[in-house]
Amino acid sequence: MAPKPVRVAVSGFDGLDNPHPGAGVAAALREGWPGPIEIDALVYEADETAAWMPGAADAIHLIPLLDKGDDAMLARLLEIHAARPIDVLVPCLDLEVPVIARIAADLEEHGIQTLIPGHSVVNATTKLRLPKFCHEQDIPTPRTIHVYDLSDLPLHAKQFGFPLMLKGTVAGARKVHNVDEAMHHARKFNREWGGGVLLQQPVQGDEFVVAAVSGRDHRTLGAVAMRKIGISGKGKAIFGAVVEEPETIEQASQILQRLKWRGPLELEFIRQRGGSAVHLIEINCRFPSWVSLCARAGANLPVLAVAEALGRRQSRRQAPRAGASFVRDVDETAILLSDRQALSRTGTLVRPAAEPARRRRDPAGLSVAISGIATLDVINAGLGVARAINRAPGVSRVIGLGYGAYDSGMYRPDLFDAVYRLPTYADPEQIRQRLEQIHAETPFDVVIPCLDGEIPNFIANREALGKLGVEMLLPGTAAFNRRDKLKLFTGKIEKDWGGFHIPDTRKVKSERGLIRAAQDLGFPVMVKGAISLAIKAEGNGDLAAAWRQLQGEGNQEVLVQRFVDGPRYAVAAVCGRNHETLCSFTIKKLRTCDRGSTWSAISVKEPALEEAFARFLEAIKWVGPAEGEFMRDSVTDEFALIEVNPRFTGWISFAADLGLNHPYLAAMTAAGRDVASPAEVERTVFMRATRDIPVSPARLSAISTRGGLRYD
Amino acid sequence: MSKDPTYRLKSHVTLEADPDGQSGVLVDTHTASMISCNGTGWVIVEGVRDGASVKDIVDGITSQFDAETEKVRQDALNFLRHLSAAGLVDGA
Repeated sequence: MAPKPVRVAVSGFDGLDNPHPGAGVAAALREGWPGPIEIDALVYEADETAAWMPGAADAIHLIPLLDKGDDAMLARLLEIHAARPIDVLVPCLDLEVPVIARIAADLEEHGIQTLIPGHSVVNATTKLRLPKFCHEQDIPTPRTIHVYDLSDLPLHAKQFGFPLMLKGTVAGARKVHNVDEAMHHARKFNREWGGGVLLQQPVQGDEFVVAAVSGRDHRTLGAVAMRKIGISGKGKAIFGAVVEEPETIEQASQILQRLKWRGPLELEFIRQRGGSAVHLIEINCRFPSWVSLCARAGANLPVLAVAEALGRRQSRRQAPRAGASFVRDVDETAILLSDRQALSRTGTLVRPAAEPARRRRDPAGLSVAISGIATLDVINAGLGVARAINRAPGVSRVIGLGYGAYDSGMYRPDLFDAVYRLPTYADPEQIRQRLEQIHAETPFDVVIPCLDGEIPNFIANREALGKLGVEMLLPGTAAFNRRDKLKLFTGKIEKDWGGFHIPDTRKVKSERGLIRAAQDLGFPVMVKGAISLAIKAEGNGDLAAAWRQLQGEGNQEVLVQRFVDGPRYAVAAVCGRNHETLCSFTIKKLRTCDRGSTWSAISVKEPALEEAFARFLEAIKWVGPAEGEFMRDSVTDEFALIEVNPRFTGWISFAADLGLNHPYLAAMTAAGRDVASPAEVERTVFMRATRDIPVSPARLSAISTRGGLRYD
Repeated sequence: MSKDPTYRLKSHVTLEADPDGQSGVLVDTHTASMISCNGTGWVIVEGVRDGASVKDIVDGITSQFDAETEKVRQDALNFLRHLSAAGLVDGA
């Protein structure tokens, strides 16, 4: 008789590009639990995207927002428990751990085990109280003050001096360089978390983090130190490696003992450059988002925690394998709209086991090379294009072209048969030479460039690549330039296209010009860089911060645009060589991250918008893939065009999930081959979530030193 | 006649071979820094790991690659000094 599965309820499946730890905890438990296990995801909203990824959760349950109170949370958890008995509950969010700590005894009485510290212990480690704790315990920590009233911030910030670290009271951190920037981000953090902000003296040095689990007797059951090698714009590790840090782990264990800690936690440290002092920066009372790395390093902390909660302590302490590394990547899936609606209506959705995705290969099919395969601060479209191409029937090989050794697509043998590096900051000639080398080693028929900045290099090489037998579906240089934001919004292009209009926009070259333009248009306005970054400004203070940020990213000119308030839409299209639209597809965006990337969306029918966009593309003589981004004015219901991207969109795999495989159609059209017209299938919702994938030193080495790697 | 030098990998250094086993990476487990080694470099660090003297390592390389012994010896010593300066091997 098969043993009964252990059912673990895990929370924290949201966060988008700043992911909560739930998905990592779930992945580690599935990877390392010695026996059958079921994971039930606890979510506050139906669109916590990571809960929907294939294989993440066996069931999803809605739970009440924390402000509904402890009783509401307890009642809901017991209701879930009555329907699907929970053996262990692992809360993964900072704010919910104190709540679960207060109701832990009641949960245990009903058979739900937890491994979390007492509520007063959790309170001692909050960002607001940590400086006091460190002072009392003689633990080095940077000077930190709490600024409750933001009007006091300029005074305190000037006393600290710049740059300084600005932090939200619960989450969020940003290095700021002047008062305007500090105020801009302080307002954002305060809006999100309340309670003012923290100012912290910055410490220069290597950042590393310790994840640990303490037992019921406060002994450290396991600990893993990870060095942050790459950090996102939000200060989060996007690639990192396990390191041996015996002294810091001992220090962490002593902190856990002194706190009388129970359960998981994360301690963030910085080793001061040029010295040996290790500063404690932060304590988080839950697993870190990178926790799946611990499992791959041989020290599966979530398994230790669940075993301890069940009273099955593992006797042998697992030493993590130093050098084990990860890079943050994304997963995407399409779920049935009816499933999402069922979860919203009933509060619970039991999901069937996920079928592993299968890669299709046809030896007589096309060999396709795809660039733009990184997920650093922006999710490159090449990953979605690769997912779509992998679903197509007539493909013999998919080749990934990256620029850096940490481009996450380099470590996706499930997507790519071979991966190669292209030279960074290269001219067209260098790109041509490199593509010829790669083609000699691994031939390809079609190349699909997916980064705005590289497309001119590929356009310049159209003839040279054609001689190799490599085809592309790209516009001419004039068409490419016509959709450039600086030209599109301030040039002579017609404003009214029937289905949409181009909003009032000014191009400015100075901060003073920016202020004048914003006052002319009226607040709020959007301030945009030539290629990326769009910042909403509600007043002059925001304008100054936006100007500095955009200047810092190399923009000599910026655009100021009247803010259109309403939902965001996007139309993906592919044009043939005669500028005719071969296929188009519209989404309404449900979730976007701060950088504007789409993390959840639903397909919609907007034929008038698609027809107008097709007329626009034909007018600018477009060839190949393009994405039009639109805001739908919530008052007038009119669409305003806010951007035209000269490539496939990052969410294009969604179109393929619905049977509209735009990348395959583009590849076949480029190669002059016929393909059946795509047909749309069921109504679905697009979901994207982060996923940490392993990076082996040997693969990293091959990509760094030899410039490529074959997986086939 | 000078004694043949020997080097030892420090305890916080591990070697990870490439899939073909002909080259690989030297990983500093304290910092997660990595040094990629080509075929010759890999023969050297494997030799150091196994406790071989520089002479043994040079003999190993010249038996596998067509190269002048003294040139190989100088290149190997330079590489080992570089690793020593990086705190990855103990010099003789």
